[in-house]
Amino acid sequence: MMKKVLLVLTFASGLCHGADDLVKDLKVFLENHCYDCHGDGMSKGGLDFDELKTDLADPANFAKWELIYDRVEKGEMPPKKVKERPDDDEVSHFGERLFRPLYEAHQKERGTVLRRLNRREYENTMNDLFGTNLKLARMLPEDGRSHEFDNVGEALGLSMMHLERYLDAARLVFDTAVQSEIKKPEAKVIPANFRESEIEKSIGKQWKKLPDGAIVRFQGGGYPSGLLRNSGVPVSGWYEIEVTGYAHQSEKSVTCSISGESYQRGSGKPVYRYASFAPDKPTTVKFRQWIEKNYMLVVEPRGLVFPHPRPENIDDYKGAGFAFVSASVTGPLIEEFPTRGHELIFDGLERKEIMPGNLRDREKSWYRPKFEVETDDEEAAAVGSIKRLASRAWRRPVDESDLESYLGLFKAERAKEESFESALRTALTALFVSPKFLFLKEEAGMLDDHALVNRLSYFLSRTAPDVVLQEVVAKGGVKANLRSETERLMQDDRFNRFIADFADSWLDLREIDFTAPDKNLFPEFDPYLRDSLVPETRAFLKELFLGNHPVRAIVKSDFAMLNSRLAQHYDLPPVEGPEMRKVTLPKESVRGGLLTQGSILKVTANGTNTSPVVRGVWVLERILGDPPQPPPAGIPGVEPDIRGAETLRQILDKHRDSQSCNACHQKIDPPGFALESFNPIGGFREQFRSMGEGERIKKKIGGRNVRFRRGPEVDSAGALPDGQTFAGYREFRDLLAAEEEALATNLLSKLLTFATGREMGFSDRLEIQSMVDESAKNGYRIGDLLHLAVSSPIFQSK
Amino acid sequence: MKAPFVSTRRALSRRHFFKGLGTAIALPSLEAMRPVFGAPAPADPVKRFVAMNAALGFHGPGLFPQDPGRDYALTPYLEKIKDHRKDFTLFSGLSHPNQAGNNGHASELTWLTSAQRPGLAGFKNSISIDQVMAKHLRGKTRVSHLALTTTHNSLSWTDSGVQIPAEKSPSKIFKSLFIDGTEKEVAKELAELKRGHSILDTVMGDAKKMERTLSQKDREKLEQYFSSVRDLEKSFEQSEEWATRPKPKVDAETPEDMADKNDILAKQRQMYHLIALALQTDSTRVATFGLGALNSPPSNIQGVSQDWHNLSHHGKDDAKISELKLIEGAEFEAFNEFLTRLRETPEESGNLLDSTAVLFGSNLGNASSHDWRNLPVIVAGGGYRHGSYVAHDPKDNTPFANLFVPLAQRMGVEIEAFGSSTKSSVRGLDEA
Repeated sequence: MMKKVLLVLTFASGLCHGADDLVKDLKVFLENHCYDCHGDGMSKGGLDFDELKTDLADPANFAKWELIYDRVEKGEMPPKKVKERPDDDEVSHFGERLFRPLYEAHQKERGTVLRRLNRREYENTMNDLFGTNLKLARMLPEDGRSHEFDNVGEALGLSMMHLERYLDAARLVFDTAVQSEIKKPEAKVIPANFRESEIEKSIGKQWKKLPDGAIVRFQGGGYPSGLLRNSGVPVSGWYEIEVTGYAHQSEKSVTCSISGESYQRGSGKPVYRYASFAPDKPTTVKFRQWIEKNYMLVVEPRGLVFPHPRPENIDDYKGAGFAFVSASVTGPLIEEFPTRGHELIFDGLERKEIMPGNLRDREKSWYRPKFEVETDDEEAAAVGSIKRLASRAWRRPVDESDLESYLGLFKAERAKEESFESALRTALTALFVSPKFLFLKEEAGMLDDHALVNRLSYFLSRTAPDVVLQEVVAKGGVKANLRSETERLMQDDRFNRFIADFADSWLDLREIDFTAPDKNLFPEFDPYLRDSLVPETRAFLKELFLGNHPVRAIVKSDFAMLNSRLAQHYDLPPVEGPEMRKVTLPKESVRGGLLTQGSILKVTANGTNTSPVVRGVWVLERILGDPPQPPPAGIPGVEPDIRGAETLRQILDKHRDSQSCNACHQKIDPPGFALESFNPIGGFREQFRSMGEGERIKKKIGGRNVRFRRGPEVDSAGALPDGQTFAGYREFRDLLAAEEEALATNLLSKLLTFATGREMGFSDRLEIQSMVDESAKNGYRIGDLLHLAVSSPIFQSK
Repeated sequence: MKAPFVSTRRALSRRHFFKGLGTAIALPSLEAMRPVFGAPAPADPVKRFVAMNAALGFHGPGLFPQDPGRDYALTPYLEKIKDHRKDFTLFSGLSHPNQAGNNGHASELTWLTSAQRPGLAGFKNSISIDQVMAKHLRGKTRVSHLALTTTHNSLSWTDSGVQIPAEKSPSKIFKSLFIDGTEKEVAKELAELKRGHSILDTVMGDAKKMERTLSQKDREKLEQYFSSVRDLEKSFEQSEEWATRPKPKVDAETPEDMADKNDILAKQRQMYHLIALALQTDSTRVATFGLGALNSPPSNIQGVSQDWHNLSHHGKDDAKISELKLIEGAEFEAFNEFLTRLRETPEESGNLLDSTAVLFGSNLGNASSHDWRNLPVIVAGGGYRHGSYVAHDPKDNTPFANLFVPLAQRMGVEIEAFGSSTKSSVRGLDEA
């Protein structure tokens, strides 16, 4: 007791001493270079040294001192226009004195806070463990975020609501995973076709029947749609979808969306995939797809132009169409019967059907069998089952003392006359509401093998460790195998989850549908384009990691990941078909890199107009890792005006009092100005589109005259804070691509945040810097950075 | 017209068979008429609170009159609720401080919480004012609160800053409040609650053991787990209490969830209807309702062809503004019907609108530029003195949370401050 008190005292006085030192040491510098604006009653930018406290344990104080450190270090403060500037020695002395207290204060606080599985991690973990494919994430409350990352322990709250939903979710998983049929349901072929009455009604009007029996549709959507009404599936599950058809009256292939639709109120319309069909010769497209119960197939040609009003005689119409020959859905395709979850629960136990009074009932379609477990030693059976699941659920070995209370629960339920299976389920459910399942528990200091493997697995596979990783741990060879395991997980299918989740956070891709582009301004934004944007960026990221590209490829690459729609949208040489593939770009192309991808340009716009400020801030935060300070209080926003008289850039120029705004806006604006060359859906532009003033444009999109007019010219020139100028996006991109160290530092920091579940901070900087230096030896490569992250003490300690 | 009547926890006259407007309330059984914990009828009349937020804002010129005061001239939106001129107060110049967030709509997270810098680094939301009230009233009604929405957003946040998922399905809520389960279903529900209880007991014990091995910060997280378990246990107990009690019978059909996801006005009307029913039957006293937002045109509003979110970013384009006004005008019509419905539902002293404080507004002052200052705010009913347009300083806004404090106090919550409030009152909100 005594000892503890003493420790606290030393600790506290140590802090005070440090704080006093801080001011004393820096006093001369502050008085000479800062107080004119930030002291003696002045508080420019909200900073006043007379008021600023030195207690660095307080996050608000810490943030201010960190900012002071950074701005002096980078030479941004004192501002350039000040004549009496500190010399280099003064600056480095200042930095040295401030570095240590900041480092120590942050290091004391650093470490991943007990991290709850977020919604996606929860869903993956349950589905992977039980062999189910349930949409559990949407049952759970939204996750808190930190800097857009939704897997940071500190920001992940927990409430009664969570626990209630976890109980519901676990019940659903058990209901689905535990065998409820006598034998494996057989796969059936469901032929899919249009409804007869619809065919009769439409042939000769908007549809055409060909001699071979194929039915031609000349446009997607509309009524009657491409819904194949008899193709609803009886149960949710995996199915094989087959669609046969060809392009009619067309030299090029026709691309169709193959999607699902149900009669259930308010249900979604998931697009399964896009497929292209060659001219005149029937092509069959076949793929495996998870289909929810009662969902029917919908096949819609995309990108066809049909005249409006429609032709009088469809047989004389010569435009391109899609000839539908046949389609079918086969399934459910069940690979595991019973599921692995069922095996895990009942492994080795005899589970028998309770025969109905009338055996013939078993043949009836309405018959739902009941089962019971037969065992001589119930308790041993329960212990076995609980233990098997506990070690998987809790992601570490368990011993029986850990399980006493769960076994107790089983027994108590059994004493209440619950059946063996029901009592067992109750106990097993509890395992999945336990904090040992819900949280990734890590001890202070270096992680033990289990915690390390958990981290690796949730980082790259977004789920609990698989069998191979479990074996690696069991053999005690985690550290030695870390690199090869990282390689293996990157090659695994589940790496796609990493790409998707990481991009959702880092690049805001989860906001892709946050706005819908204005139909009059951007009539070319069709479903095929919309559904190509996110896959493009994901494919690009995957290529960056797996191809170990240099970090500059983030802003400047000589290739792009394209399909037919994107190639058209970006005005590049044509590409056939809907699959994303790597395409080498023409030499002078403006494309390449993330910033010219439609997804990024869309999430940084609002559907109608673009703001250089919003995009500028985005580039600083996400690409350069140099987030600007939020705007000071009391500055009203600028209201965009699309009537065509002025561009937002012109309005901003007028609105700005250059004195006080420039400190931040000289950094924020240039990337935004450069990106003015791209509209809200990622198209390249030299003029804005206007809905008011401006010359009419003779142009058709999708067979219709466009309604927008020619707006003001785009001005995408600018100057970086260091004085380098650029005439447009291409030159800006080249300047940005040269900032390899900044790009690498930023990407590595984002990776580490996502991997560890904590924000990187002041005391991580040295380590990150040394990793970046290490990567420089091999040209700052992106795959290397991921490996460096995994091998770092930051990743391997709490 | 004789309006439907329902007394809440007070002595119910068995004689009231109510017919009227859309809905009539049949007599609950005697059992249900007794105050919950067998105590005598409370001396204070029952008080209720509802909050509605329009996430895409309201076009300022359509709402705010030129001059403040009691004799303000009607604007297009106020025209729609002019029958209630004496039932509401319109405020301008209110906002929560520091709402620049990670995106233009971030202030939606904090409309009822007033937490600052929404969505930015280190942001953690705090409890919403409705939940402060709901916690205070816990156990008094079948459900402590309703969190509703037509599209996605919930306005309600727990004290640990977790968003409470909002319910979108009117049929589901209706069933849970007004349709009694079969005996078998009730038994099953009770069994599930008991099972849940046992599970929580077990994990609580296990978590306590785990606590010993954790660092300070981790312990704080685990503390959240403990309080979540305790909260859920209490909620289970409450549900057990209510599970066997018959639900109030209302003379209304179970609503059908809208097949058309974009028929936003029909969805708003359904929810308003449900909120009124829930208040009238004292099934809850606190409700929040996100009016919704769409990235497509709302259906069934003549003259609207463009995507709603997009229209809100009108960029001063007149054609867009006129479409936007059609949507927002229709929302005010639906709101008007709701106020009328409450006013025409008599209670022992006065009517349902008198006993319900209604907060209606938006987290955006100007959606076109994502400006979160100068919010449109209407307070209706609740026994306040109404009839004015009260303008606060547009350049130096009054903290919106200053309004929350008296609203909570009215519900019997003893607080003097909430979130970023600087005072426990706001100019223009006075008791009648």
